[in-house]
Amino acid sequence: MKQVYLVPHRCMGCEECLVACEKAHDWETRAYVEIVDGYFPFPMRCNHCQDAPCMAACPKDAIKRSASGAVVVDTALCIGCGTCSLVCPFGVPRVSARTGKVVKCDLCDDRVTRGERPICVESCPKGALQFGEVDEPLAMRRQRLARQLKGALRAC
Amino acid sequence: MTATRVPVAAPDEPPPGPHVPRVVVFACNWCSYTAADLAGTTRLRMPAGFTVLRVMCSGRVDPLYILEALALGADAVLVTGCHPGDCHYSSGNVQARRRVDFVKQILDRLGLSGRLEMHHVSAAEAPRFQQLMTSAVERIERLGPSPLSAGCPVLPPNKRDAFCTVLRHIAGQLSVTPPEGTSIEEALVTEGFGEPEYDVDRCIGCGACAASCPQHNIEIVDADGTRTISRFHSRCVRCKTCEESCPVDALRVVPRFDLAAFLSEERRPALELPLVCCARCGQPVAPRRQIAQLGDAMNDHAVPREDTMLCAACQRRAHAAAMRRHMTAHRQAGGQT
Repeated sequence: MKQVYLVPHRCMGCEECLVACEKAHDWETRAYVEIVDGYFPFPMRCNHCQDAPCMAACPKDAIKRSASGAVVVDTALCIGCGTCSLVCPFGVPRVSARTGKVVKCDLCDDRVTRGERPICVESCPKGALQFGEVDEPLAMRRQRLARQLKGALRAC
Repeated sequence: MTATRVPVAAPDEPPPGPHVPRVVVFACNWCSYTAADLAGTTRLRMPAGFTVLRVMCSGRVDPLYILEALALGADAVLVTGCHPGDCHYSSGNVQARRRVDFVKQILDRLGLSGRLEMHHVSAAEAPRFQQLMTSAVERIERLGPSPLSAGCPVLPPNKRDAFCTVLRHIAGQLSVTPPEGTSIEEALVTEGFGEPEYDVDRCIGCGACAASCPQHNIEIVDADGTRTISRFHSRCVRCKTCEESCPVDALRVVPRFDLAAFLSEERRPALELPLVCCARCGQPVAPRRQIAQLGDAMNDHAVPREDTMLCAACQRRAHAAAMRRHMTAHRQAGGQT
């Protein structure tokens, strides 16, 4: 499953992802940028957990896993009770004051099925948000470590 | 209705002779009353036996008025309002149609079918008004006079009690008896008009009813560590969306009457629930009951605890700070990001 993953030290807190998300999703942003210690920006969005607590807790079973693997809210079933917001360890789902339904990242389901990247990834000017297979960043890290090790071995 | 309700005297005995129908017409000031006026000025021939009462909107006609008119000796009641979409006050005629349908149901059960109608007449439709009056009077002549003897008991100030009193009075005269163990109003009013009622012991205060109500009838106020759920009872259209949305089946639209309210912004507190506040910022998070029942559905997931509960914003902040600490530690340990 392809996922959005974060490279937090690249985030400069410009909130372009928020604006792009807002434009793409009926003027309700689903991404957040938290500022830590008043200085360090940290991009936050739904992690589409493997075993999502929101999915387990939803009393109306309105939260489901889509074909692309994203955890999505079925707004036709959502009653806006905010249970998902209570159980989410990242505090991501939020009950919209305008529609009374939960607003939550759907991993840009329509874009991803078209083969495009999610809009937040597309809009990030610094590449702090990346889109790819879950193993991809791990594989990159492994390769980098292997290269470093090889260099170190050669040096001695 | 104010507390000092004046008892209405029964009208005088009709003079002997052929029965002249007594049809009470509630006519909207902006359309059918003007149509009646136009019918008069254009000298259309009108039948005898109807009385036009002007109301500012057909939505002003309370089911109580209709029942009272029938109890006081009217043979039929007509409610006339603007065409749908033309209401001077945007939706009064739709409300009126709903109320008339509600009373019609009751009258059908009482055996008084055909004595109540609602029509939409615009201000220009004088011939239609004339035709409606003629057909109404003709129908009453066919149906015969009302089986009720004119007279209405003194009504209590509370509107709901007043409605029940009239209902009991009419049912008593028609010797309609409710099934064993039920009151007459329960037997007659079964569906449609009603009001949402909370099961105070079951409600977890999640606010789904308020979020789903299309009329914004339910209001939630979080203050001083309590969540107060209240209703504006005149806004309710009995769509039952709240009933369907309630995750714990604590809300039911009960067959009761709460009719056109005199104060549309009258707030009716339904229940109060203690809130759990965010352990960091102190903002209210959710009612204690909602958090307490989270455990049931959560399977093996960590269930949030009441004393360490964070609001969503603090939760995000806490996570971001933890990640930041992790990154710093990673870098200090010589790792690359």
